[in-house]
This record gives sequence, C-alpha cells and structure tokens, in this order.
Amino acid sequence: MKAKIMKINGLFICLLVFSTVSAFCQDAQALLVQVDRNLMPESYEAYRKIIDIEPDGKRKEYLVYSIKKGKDKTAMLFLAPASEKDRVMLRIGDNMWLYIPAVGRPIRQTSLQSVTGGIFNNADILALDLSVEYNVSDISQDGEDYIFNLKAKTQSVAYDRVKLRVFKKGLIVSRMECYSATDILLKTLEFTQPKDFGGGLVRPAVIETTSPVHKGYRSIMIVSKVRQKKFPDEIFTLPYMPRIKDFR
Amino acid sequence: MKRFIMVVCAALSCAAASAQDINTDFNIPREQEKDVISINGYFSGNFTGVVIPDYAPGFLTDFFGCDENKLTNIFHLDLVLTGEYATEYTGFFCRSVTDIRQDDPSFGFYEIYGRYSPSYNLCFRLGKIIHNWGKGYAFNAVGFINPVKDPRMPETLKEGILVLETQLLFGYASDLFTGWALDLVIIPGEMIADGGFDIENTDYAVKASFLIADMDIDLMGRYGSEGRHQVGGDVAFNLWENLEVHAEGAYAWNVPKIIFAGNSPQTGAVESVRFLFGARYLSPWNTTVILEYFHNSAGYSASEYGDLIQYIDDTMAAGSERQINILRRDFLPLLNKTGQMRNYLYLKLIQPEPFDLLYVTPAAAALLNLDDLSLCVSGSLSYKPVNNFELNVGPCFYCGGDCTEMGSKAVLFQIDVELFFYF
Repeated sequence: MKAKIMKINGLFICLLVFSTVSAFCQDAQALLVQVDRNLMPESYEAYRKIIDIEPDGKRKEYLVYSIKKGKDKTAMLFLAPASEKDRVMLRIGDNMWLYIPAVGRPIRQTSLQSVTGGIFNNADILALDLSVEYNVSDISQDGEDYIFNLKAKTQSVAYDRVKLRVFKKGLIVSRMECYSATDILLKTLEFTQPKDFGGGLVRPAVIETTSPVHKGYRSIMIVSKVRQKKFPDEIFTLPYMPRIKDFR
Repeated sequence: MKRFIMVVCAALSCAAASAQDINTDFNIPREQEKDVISINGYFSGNFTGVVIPDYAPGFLTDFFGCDENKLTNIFHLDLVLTGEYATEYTGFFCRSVTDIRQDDPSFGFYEIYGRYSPSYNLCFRLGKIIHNWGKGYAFNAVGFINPVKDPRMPETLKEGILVLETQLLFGYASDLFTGWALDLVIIPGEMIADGGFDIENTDYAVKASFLIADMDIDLMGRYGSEGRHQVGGDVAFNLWENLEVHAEGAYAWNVPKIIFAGNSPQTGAVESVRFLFGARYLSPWNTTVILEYFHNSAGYSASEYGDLIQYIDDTMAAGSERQINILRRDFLPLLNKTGQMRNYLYLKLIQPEPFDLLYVTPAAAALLNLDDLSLCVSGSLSYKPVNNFELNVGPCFYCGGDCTEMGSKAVLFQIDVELFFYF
C-alpha cells in the first residue's frame, strides 16, 4: 500500500515538474513573442539605411525598402547606391534568394552570406521574428532587465544560441549576443536611440553591430518609417521579385 | 500610453548614453510618388588585349582579318542608360548601350519593353526582354529562350529577345506550397524585308514555376517552328544551410547539327537529351564554390569536332574569299557558342576580401571540355573602394590542341580591364 502511495506521489511530482516546466516555456515563449511585437509589427513596410564602416574609417551606405508578412515572409529592395539599385532579396522561412537585374533570375543564398559585405549577414538584414527561429531555453533577471537565453529551433538558423537583454519595462530589446554551435561569440548587436514610429510603436531606431571575428569593422542599421501594412501573398513569390520595385 | 513611451525612451536613452548618436533621419527617394520617371546607368571603360594564335579556325569569328601572332587590343567606352516610367498598372523600361569604339560607334538596346499589370496576379509585357530560364550558372539545359552565354562571364546576360508574354501568378499563406506562376511567351520569327515578322516561324514557350516544400521547381516547353520542340524541367533547393544543389533536364526534337556525309558538311536534325547537375557551397572561410556538370547527347564527340575544325582549316587555307564567307555563315553559330560538345565540367571559386584586403574580391573559374580535354581558365579581380565605382581585371586563357574546342578559338590569351562608374 505504502509503495503504491509512493508511486502515485512520484507520478504526481513528475507531472507537477513537467507542467511547471511546460508552463514556464509557454510563458517565456509568449514573452518573447511580445518582445518581437514591440520591435516590429508582424506585417510591415519600412525603410532602412545600412552603414558599413571599415577599419580605415571608410563608409559604405545602402538604402533599402523592406516589407514583411506574417511569421516567415520578408523581402527587401535596394534603392541606393546606384550600383545596387533594383536588386531584390526575398526570404521565405529558411530560404533566401537574391535577384540581380543583370542576371535576370533569382539565385539562392544562404543566411550566413552578406549581400552588403558588412557585419550584418543576410539573416540580420532579412530578420524574422526571434520567436519563429528560437526557443527560450531559460530566462533570468538582472536588475531592470530580463536575460533570455535562446536556442535555435533548427540547424538552418544563422546563430545556434542568442543571449538577449530586454528592458522589463516595455519589453524592449537593448542588446543581443549571437553565438555559434561551438559557443563562440560571433557578433553583438546594440539597440539604441529610441523613437516613436507612431501607431503605438516605440523602439530603438539604431542597431549597431560589432564582431570579434571581424575586429575594427562596424555595421549600423537605421530604421525609419515603419508602418503596419497588409500585403497579398503574391508579392512574396520568386516570379514577383523583378516587380517589387513597381509595388513600392 | 504617453507614460509608457516616456518610460521606454528613458530606459533606452540611458542604455544609449555611451553610444555615439547617429542621425536617424535620411532622405527616401520618391516615397510618395506613384508616377515615376527614373534614369540611371553606368559608364564602362573596357580594354581587351588579345593574343591571336597562328592556327585558328576561330578566325572566322570576332578577329576575322586580324594578323596572326600579334597582340591586338580593343577599347570600348560604353554608356549604359536605364530609363523607366512606372505607374500603378503600366510601365515602360529600356536599357540602352552606346558603344563608343575607336572607329565603330554604335547604339542599341539590351532591353526595351512596355508592361501592363492590372493586378498582382497578372502581367503582360511586350518588347525586347532578357530571360534566364534554368538554375545553372555556366550552362542551362532548359534555357529555351535564353541569350547565348559568354564562357568568361556566363552569369551575366546582356541582350534580350523580342517577345510578347503573359504571367499569371498566385501566392498562398501555406508553409508547404507558397505559390505558382505560369509564363506564356510568344516569340515572333525573324524580321522580314517589308518590316513585318515571319509569322509562320513564330515560336511559343511556356513555363510553370512552383515553390513546394522549400524547393524551386520549373517545368517548361517550347513549341518551335520546323518541329524544333523542347520540353524540360529544373529544381533547386538547399541541402544544408550552406549548400545549394540544382539540376536541369531537357529533351529536344529536330536540333540542327552540322554533320559530315562523305567529305562535305551537311546540316541534319537530331534529337537531344541535355541535363545538368550543380551545387553552390559556402565554406566557413566565406569561399563560395560552384561546381557543375553538363551533358548534351546531341553534342559533337572529340573526333566529330576535330573533323569539322580540320575542314574549316583546309577550306581557309585553300579557299577563296567567297568560300570563307560561306564558312562564316554556316559555322559562326557553332564557333561562337560554348556547349556544342557532349560533356563539360565547370568550377568557380569566389573569395571576398582575402587576407583582410578590403573591397577586393578575387574569383577563378575553369570550364573543362571532358570530350577533348580542352580548357578555358578565367580569373577576375574586383575592387570596389567606394560606392558606385568598380574596377574589374579579368585574364582568360584558352588551352587545348589544334582540333579541340578551346584550342581552336581565335584567342590564346585575353585580358579585360573594366572600369564602372554608376550614377
């Protein structure tokens, strides 16, 4: 009888632990979704300026028009400089393509490549929601911040592990550290200069990244004119890539 | 709400206090305009130095009439202008090239077409348009309406063909099936003397594209005049996050082929199976490797090609100017086009900014003819020190015996120096 009671108690404790862990995961993941929403609407259009600063101080600037729909569709049109004008990048889930007018067809790319050649790789520029690509493995508190430790859901995600620092008040990202599968720090992204974009969206307007792998290089992304917008699914298809410039 | 905004701003401002402030305002070109006229383009200065061999049936091509064993140089100064007028439903696009040579200035259009797209799902285009069907880089088994590729720069296409085309397009919010498109292309026959087109020789091409389960799939066909029909398909997908693989396959009827009957060449018609397998790999050191194998069952064997080259050589040695002109008419398409033999291997390596050399991207490519083991090796060094300026230096060697594909080219060694200024 005693043994039976102990068995039932053991089962109960296991269930309690499982449900607690499960509840934690759900809560933490829900919190991460909220962090995503505070960074960008789920579907939006925006303009970005990407500035790559080389060790010798020289700068290269790119102006892009970017759009996103739902959890895993995003596209980007280069507006400047003239040498890159009308190039289009499309991302659907883990798949990425680059369309160059002189080539005349979309070419598959990997998330680790960088279309601009700077510290921001394709996955940073065509970023999906963090909650789409990562699971929360644990969450802790550090003063006025939450620290999220995120683990990639699949191997095709650009970074295996991400450490995310988020302000508790407002759930706004302030810093992101990206690690490889071998636990090497690949880059750090700092989110600065808050701006009211309207429609209740207040978020950092500047993302600055440095990498210990590329010492002396810096890349800066300035976000502007973020607007919530609905798009037809046709825009996020390969045959539409040459026509995205007409859509803007 | 205001309080929330103030709290967030205060928190972020503290975090940003140590960071240098960056001006977050920037100009956005033509943000609100729907009717847009835009003109941009580039100047391109190109110097080509060529060493011509003392034996070359390829003399029939670009360097016809040049002295043998001599360094010949050609200088181009091209102005490429892109003009565009776009409204919500209609548009006009043209890309012209003005080639200011030393003694032969010329003007032409790479592309010129009008567009009418009444909805996201439908688009009509009429004019001279570039198409690039297929997934391959150096070859396309399914490039039924593609322009001829330059073996030194196979990824860049310049000149389109005259077509009337319709595109029907649908997208879906599904993870498995993202969308499909149907392209219908009408290709009129050659222009005839009275200014019209040879309607009887109009070709029709169709392509159906799908994105299913993370794979790009195309099925295409061309209904050609004189029974020259082609059908085929291609596929591309990422095997791993840094490895893309692609394949193409096509079957063609009545492919024209110059064959020997007795001792004289005659044009016959054969059926052909073409296929291509390829991969593109990104190494941990940021090196991109492209590898492709191409097979064309209707291509020439090494001995068939050798016979053709020998015939050209004999006729050139003994023939009159009239006979040489007939040779040029009959054999130029053969000598100008790569992929006329049966089996090829293509390898390209691209390494951006090696040894911390900023703005420099070297690349090397090799195109090996597996039938006669002749080789085209090319390199390029791209330097982009500032926005909108680019310098490319590209040497190219053709290696092979006298009766091989690459060895019979009119060029032994070629170096191109190109300067681009975009505006």
